[in-house]
Amino acid sequence: MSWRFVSAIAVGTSHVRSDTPCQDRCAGSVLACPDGAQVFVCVVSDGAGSAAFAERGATLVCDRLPVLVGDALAASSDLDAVSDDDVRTWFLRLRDELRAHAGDSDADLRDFSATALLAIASDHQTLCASVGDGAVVVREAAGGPFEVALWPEGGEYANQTYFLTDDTVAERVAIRRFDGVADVIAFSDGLQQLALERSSRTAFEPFFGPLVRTVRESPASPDELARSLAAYLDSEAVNRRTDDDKALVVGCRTAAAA
Amino acid sequence: MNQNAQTPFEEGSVTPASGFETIEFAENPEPRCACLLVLDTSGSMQGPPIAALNLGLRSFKDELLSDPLAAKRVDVAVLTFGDSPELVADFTDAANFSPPDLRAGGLTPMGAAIWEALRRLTARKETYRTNGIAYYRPWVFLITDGEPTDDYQAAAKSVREGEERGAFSFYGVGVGEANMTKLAEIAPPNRPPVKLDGLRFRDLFVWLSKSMRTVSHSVIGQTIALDPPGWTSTQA
Repeated sequence: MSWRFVSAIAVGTSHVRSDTPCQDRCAGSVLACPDGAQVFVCVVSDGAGSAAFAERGATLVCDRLPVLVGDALAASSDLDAVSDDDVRTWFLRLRDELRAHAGDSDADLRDFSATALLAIASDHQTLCASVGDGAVVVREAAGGPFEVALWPEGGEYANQTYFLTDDTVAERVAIRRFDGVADVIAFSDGLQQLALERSSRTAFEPFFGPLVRTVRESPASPDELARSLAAYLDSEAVNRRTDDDKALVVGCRTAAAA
Repeated sequence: MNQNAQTPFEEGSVTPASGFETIEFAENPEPRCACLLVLDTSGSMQGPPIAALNLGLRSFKDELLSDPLAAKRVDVAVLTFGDSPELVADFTDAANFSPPDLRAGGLTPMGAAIWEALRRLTARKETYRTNGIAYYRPWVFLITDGEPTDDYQAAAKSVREGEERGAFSFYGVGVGEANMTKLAEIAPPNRPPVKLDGLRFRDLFVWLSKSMRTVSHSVIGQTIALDPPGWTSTQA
């Protein structure tokens, strides 16, 4: 089994207006483990609007988290061998790396404030973890219902959340595990309004259905799909519902090689 | 009440006083920033002050509507105090807000009005949560031209405690002969009351709408920088 995935980011209209860059980042990759397993890893990070180097913080999270995961799975792709403490250690390590980067730039750790969403999926196991806003949605079987694996975590108010750079990050890590899933989607808070139905606490099928169908069935190349996804994220229809930055990764387990 | 928009007549969903009020969230699921205007309509507001206030309320709506997201996200209510505290406009998004035509008359039961305002605000937050609506920190915006004619000490304490907890942001504005000393006892120490320059209600509401737009567009971790109010009197 292999994975076909696509990812894209788009700047929010409020960032365009205030002349600030897109501060969301995301990354998808497939790890070929020595035991032959193909493991899909996706990361989404939203740099804090108030942080001076928000996009550098988010970029670092998306560059480094897959490497830490790769190191942990170097010997075996068994996700049950990765404890919750191991996951928390990745986030703490990332915070240390952000602090080191801040030091190099004569900046404060807070200047690199960013959230982190992570999903790791092998054929039979799935591990999702997050600090802060954004969400991970999974579908256990193609054609089945979508399930919100991790809900956005934050404070009482819509413009509050937790960051990887918080002192309390170890307590803020949310972790959920599933058996093998067919599809996994991670996205930043800019898409929450379109993708999640908070009142019924469900994933909005009309949003996710076409997404995974396209990734699974489109004859387009991954590059073409990524361009098309980026265009959708920057479309008038999406911008009517959100003025924030958007990041989205969609991964689908397929029989064929990606 | 937990009403499902897809099954509006679910058994037990229609009670005498309510039933349809939560449909607004099906129509507009945007996160909300509640803005509760607590307005002094005592007898001393009669004449030009109340007329300027009414015009100001209309400008407030117009300014909010000029921003499509703010029109959906800013949740406005108006509570007046003259004879007794009265919620003359219940919470609704700016797009559906009808600026009331206020009349002046009566005393200044500010303490009772603050109690009622905080009670309404707590209930509104509960409604958001029940309906799965995300929300920003609400604003309570009190405008008075006099001084409390009732017991306001306990209400003042609630304002300060609520502000301290982060339950809301409280703004106090004095007009004309307002007793700024007493208003300062009510307003939180970190945000002392300000005095309106003359009857510049329109400028005040343009500033307020701009501030609400900023809040309703704010994203995670952003420090909200409001414009300095250009409508305050320097002798406050």
